[in-house]
Amino acid sequence: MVRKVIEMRQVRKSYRMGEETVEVLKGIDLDVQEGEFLAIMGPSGEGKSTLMNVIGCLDRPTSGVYLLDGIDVTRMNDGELSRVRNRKIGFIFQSFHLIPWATALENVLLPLVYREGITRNDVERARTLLERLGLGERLNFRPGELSGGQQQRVAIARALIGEPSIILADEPTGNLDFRASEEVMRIFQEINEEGRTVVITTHDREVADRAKRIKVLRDGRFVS
Amino acid sequence: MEGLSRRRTQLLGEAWRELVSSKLNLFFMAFGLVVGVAAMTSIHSLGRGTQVAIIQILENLNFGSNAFLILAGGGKFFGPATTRRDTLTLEDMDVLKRLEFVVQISPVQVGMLQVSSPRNAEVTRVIGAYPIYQRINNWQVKEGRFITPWDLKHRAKVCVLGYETARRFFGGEALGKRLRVRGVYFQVVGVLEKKGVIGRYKLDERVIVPLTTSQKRIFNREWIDAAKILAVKGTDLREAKEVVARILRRRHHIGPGDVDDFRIITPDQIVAFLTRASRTLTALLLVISFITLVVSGVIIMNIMYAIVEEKKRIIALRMALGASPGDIMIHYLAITGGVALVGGVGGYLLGLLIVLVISHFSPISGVYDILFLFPSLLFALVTGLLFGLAPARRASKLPPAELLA
Ligand SMILES: Nc1ncnc2c1ncn2[C@@H]1O[C@H](COP(=O)(O)OP(=O)(O)O)[C@@H](O)[C@H]1O
Ligand SMILES: [Mg+2]
Repeated sequence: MVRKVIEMRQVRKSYRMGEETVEVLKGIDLDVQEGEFLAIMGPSGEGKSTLMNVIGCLDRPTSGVYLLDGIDVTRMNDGELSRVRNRKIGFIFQSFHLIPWATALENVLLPLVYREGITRNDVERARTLLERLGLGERLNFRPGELSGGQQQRVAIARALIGEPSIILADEPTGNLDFRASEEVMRIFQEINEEGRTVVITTHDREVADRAKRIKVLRDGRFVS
Repeated sequence: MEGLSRRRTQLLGEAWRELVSSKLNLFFMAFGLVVGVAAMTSIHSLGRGTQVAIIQILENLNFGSNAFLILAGGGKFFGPATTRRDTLTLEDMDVLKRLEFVVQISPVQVGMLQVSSPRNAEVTRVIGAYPIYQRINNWQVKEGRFITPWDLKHRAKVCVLGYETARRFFGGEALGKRLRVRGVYFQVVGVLEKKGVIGRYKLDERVIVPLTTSQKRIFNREWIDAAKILAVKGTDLREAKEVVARILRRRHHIGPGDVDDFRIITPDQIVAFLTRASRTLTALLLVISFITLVVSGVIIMNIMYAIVEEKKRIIALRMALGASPGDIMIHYLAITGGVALVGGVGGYLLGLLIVLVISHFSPISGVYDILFLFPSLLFALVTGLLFGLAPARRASKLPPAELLA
């Protein structure tokens, strides 16, 4: 039997804007199995990032059920959520979000600082990961010395280092040119073929087509 | 367990790298602490140095733990006498000499008088003394000799000069020369070694003559101004003072409840008196240093708020990667802790430099101890952590989802 990584039922998320309440997610049902490669599509402002933040436990849903690896995360406090993020989620962002004064290697290892601390073995693993992603010559470069595509590859290595249950990439190609986008998507396909669960968001049909499954977000709900 | 301490070390490492990534912020935050800590430690050091110097000089004058002074006239300590003061006599001393704990007594007459030589004329401290004065005060004679029993017996018109007085009145070549005091000529028979100053009291400016001569030729009176009593080692000075006071009260017919017409002063009182002035100054300067530290604390707080604002996306990233609110709190407290470390050590070193410079160019010399490093660091740390608390809390409460979008 295939394990369910994500199980969402009627997840809603609304923001208070002064007097008004704006509902961004209006009842999301979503199941993601282990080993899937899902693309969530939708135009800008439709709530893709909001959904990713809920999936990634950076934010709590206003209502609904969300089980991550079978565990209810909706009632956890901030400390517990940070533990869940650290162990189960590998984030990749549109704008990379690397620490500017740290080297590529240090950036990759950062999630482990918030786990049990980096070991010598971890450093070796990080080195191997970066080598695999074609950055073997740039281990000690800082983000400012790397191209956008290279920075995003460092971010992918950082997402992989902790062996999370799921890789979440919110518009990972949004800041990249065509060639770098292709490269990044190829990497996602590769790591998915190794058995990792990957969820990305995009507003770009061509990017979405690289995934195994596509869901389209429209007006706060999935339409397909 | 090993993982926990490794984690903690690496959390601090993260904070340190963030701190040194902006040296300017570090500089501005540490600057106030450096100034405050340097001011505090150097003031404390110079205060201690002054006190130690006074104690040293007093001990050098044989005015350590087993000696005390009797001053003629009642009143406050070194203030002017508020009673008659013409009652302390050599007969009193003869009685006191019979006390078991008394080793020696050195009575003196003292006055500030016009003194002149062909070269100089100025008001100088003139002291009528017994030969014992030399030993009881541990004076060494640099040239010539001290007052002798023969001088005393024959009311010899001889004098012994303090080092500075000899230099000022005769340019150093004083032996055999004549010095005029109150119209009487005294022959210089000795010059004393250099002793220094206690507060404003210049030990090396004095003219010492035989007490018998000063009674008849200078002051024209029998009563004495003061006497130093050297007690047997190990004597309880408080008890000894009480015994002496009782005898003097009886001899001076002072009834119970009447004010004493004498004062008895112990060395610790002199140290306390001489350091009181510098203590007020020290207290004032400590208040100023304290204000400096509070100001630097406020500066640290404001820069930390600015840093948290500037780094809020990185904070959100750390949270996304698994940093708990507590981890973020530790991260930013560690940054102010690092600032405090730099400021504390820097302040200690600057304080040391200040004390070295002052000790080199002035007669004050500071006592600067490596042990000052700990209170310096402690104070800087308390300041840093106290004022870093609110910014660290703000950082730990940032909403990661909003900031990463
Ligand atoms: N923290 C917030 N407070 C208020 N409104 C928000 C917040 N975050 C997102 N929104 C709103 O939610 C909607 C969806 O935003 P987002 O999830 O970023 O869309 P997408 O990622 O699909 O472009 C937008 O209208 C946005 O203005
Ligand atoms: Mg978005």
